[in-house]
Formats: sequence, structure tokens, C-alpha cells
Amino acid sequence: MAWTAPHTWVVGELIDAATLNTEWRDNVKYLTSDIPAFRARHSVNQNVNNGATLTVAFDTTEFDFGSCKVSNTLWQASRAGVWRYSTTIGLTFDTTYTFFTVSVNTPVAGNFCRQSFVKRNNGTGEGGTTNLSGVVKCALNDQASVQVAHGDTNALVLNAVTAYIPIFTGYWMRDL
Amino acid sequence: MAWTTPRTWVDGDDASLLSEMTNINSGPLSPLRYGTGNYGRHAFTMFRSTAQTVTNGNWSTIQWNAIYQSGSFGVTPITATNVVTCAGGGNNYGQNLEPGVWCINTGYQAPTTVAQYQAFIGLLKNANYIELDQRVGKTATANIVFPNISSLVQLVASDALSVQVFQYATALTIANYYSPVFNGFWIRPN
Repeated sequence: MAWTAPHTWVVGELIDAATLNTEWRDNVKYLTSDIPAFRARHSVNQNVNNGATLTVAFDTTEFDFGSCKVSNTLWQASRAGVWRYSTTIGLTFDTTYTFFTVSVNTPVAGNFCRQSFVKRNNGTGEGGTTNLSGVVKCALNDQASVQVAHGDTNALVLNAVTAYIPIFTGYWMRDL
Repeated sequence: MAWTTPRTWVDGDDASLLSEMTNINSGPLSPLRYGTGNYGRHAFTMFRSTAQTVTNGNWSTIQWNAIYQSGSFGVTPITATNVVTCAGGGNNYGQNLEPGVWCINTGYQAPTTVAQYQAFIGLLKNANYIELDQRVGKTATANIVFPNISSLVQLVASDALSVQVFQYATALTIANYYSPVFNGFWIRPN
């Protein structure tokens, strides 16, 4: 249901069902219970090859209000407006020095939210995680994805550690 | 009061109009209201104001002992709690969360005066990790890392959230007005 500009009543005006349903039911639902929001994660490891960019898959949807999911790698703004996205990515690697970048992409803003992550190895092969979030303006059905890139000598393994990474979330905040 | 779906009106409902005008404020709109007569989404911000020691090699649950108060939050202070729970609705912000989707943020500052190389923060729902952030510092050099999590979480009645931190290399004392922090705001009902 679309947003309707709030009605201004005048003295003597008949209050009918249609007006109340628009003002007190549909507009309230629009701003609360109909807000699109999703959270997804991935259940198995993914590899990021040297010099390559991986579009991260999220095969497990924890919730998807408003039908945001297009595929495991693409999530759409099912309502035009300002959206907030966040992602948590974790990788395992064992090179002596490496880095990766994580970005959230939309067709409007490109890599609108991006972070580099540097890991200095201590010799035992631990990985690292990074979390980033951002706000972007989206037209209806603009699609968002998470990408991981790196430029080191060895492939990285994007962890699926039990059930808590990688994670991708998003929700609608307001109209344009 | 918990979220309720807005009423569908039919013509002839005018006899119940006044009562419904009252109910809509205490029902559908209540998650958007704090205290009495103030509006804004349910929200909480907690921090730790006194020292808590995190021992090397162990996960430690942060004991939140203070809730940030400002006029715009309209919250009531809570004491000595390490979880926030979703108990089916209510206005006790921080301890009795409204069911639904929440935006949750947490983070802390790992020590600045010791050499360390890994610091973790974990967000738990019902004692199970649902998200983790791990930061790696430079070995053998004192430095700062800031593990943090910002995400969406879906809560139903009786769900409980907590935060744990893990530290390699040395014991850690966390305490100041900026770290650690744990905050969130309600987005929508389930």
C-alpha cells in the first residue's frame, strides 16, 4: 500500500470509513508493519580467488518482509526510498600480510559503502571479520549486493562460521 | 503495549470513534511512543561506567550497568543487567523490548597500552552467537582496535540479547563512557 499525504480535516467534514482507513490504518501500517526488512546469511564457505571479486551469496533467509530477495546474491529495494544496509564478512587466510575490501553495491550509488580490512598475520592462520553499514537512496527495485575483493597471492576463504557470518541485512527508512 | 494491527473501518462505525481514537494511541502507535505523550521509536543505549575485567582466552559477557539518559530517549535507568529481553511488549526500554525487527549496534575499544593481536565481540540471542566481529591488531606493538557490530535482529517474546567479548594475549579492563556500548531501536513488528 502506498503512502498517502496526511489529510487535513475541516470543521463539519464527514468522517467516513475510507478516510479513516487511509489515514489511520494504511498510513500507520506503511510506517510500521509494512516496512520492508531482511536478514540473510550463508551456510557454507565461499572462496575469493587472488585478484578476483566475489559477489557474496546468502543462501539462508532469516526474515524477508516485503519480498526483498531476488536471488542469493541480489536483494532489491521493494519500496523506493532511503535504505540502510549492513553486512558482516569474515575470512580465513594464512598469508603473512593481506587485505580485502568489502563493499555494498547498488546501481544508483555503486560501491556506496566500502571498507578495506588489513590483517597482519601472527603465523597461526587466523582470519578476520569486518562489519560495515551505510545508507543509500534507492529507486524501486534497485538491487543491492555485497562484494569482497583482494589482491594477494593466495585465495581467501570467506567463512561460514556456524551461523553468524556472513550476514547481510537491510531495511527501508523513509520515502525519497 | 505491544503492536496491534490497525483497525479496518466500515461505515457506521462512528459510535466507536472516540474509543478507537484512544485505542489507536495505545495500540498501533505505541511502539512509536516512549513514556507518556512523547513519540519516537523504542530505543535504548547502554554502556558500562565502571571497570570490568576480561580475562585472556575467555569469552566474557559484558555487564551493562548504565543506560544513557537524555531527554529525547525518555528512558528509565537500569542496573546490573547483562541481557536485554523481549518480554512481549511494554515500555521498559532496554529490558523489555517490543517484539519485531530491531537495529542493534554494539562495540568496544580493545586496550591501548598492551600488545595484543586479536579482539572479538559477539552478539548473542538466547545465548547463541548470531553475529561476530574479530579485529586483529599488530603483534608486539601497543595499538587500538574497535570490534563492532551493526545489524538487524528479529525478536519474539522471551528472546534475550547479550554481548560477549574475547581477548587474546592479555587481560583487558574495559571502562569508560564511550566503550563498550550497546544500543538499538525498533523498526517494525513481526
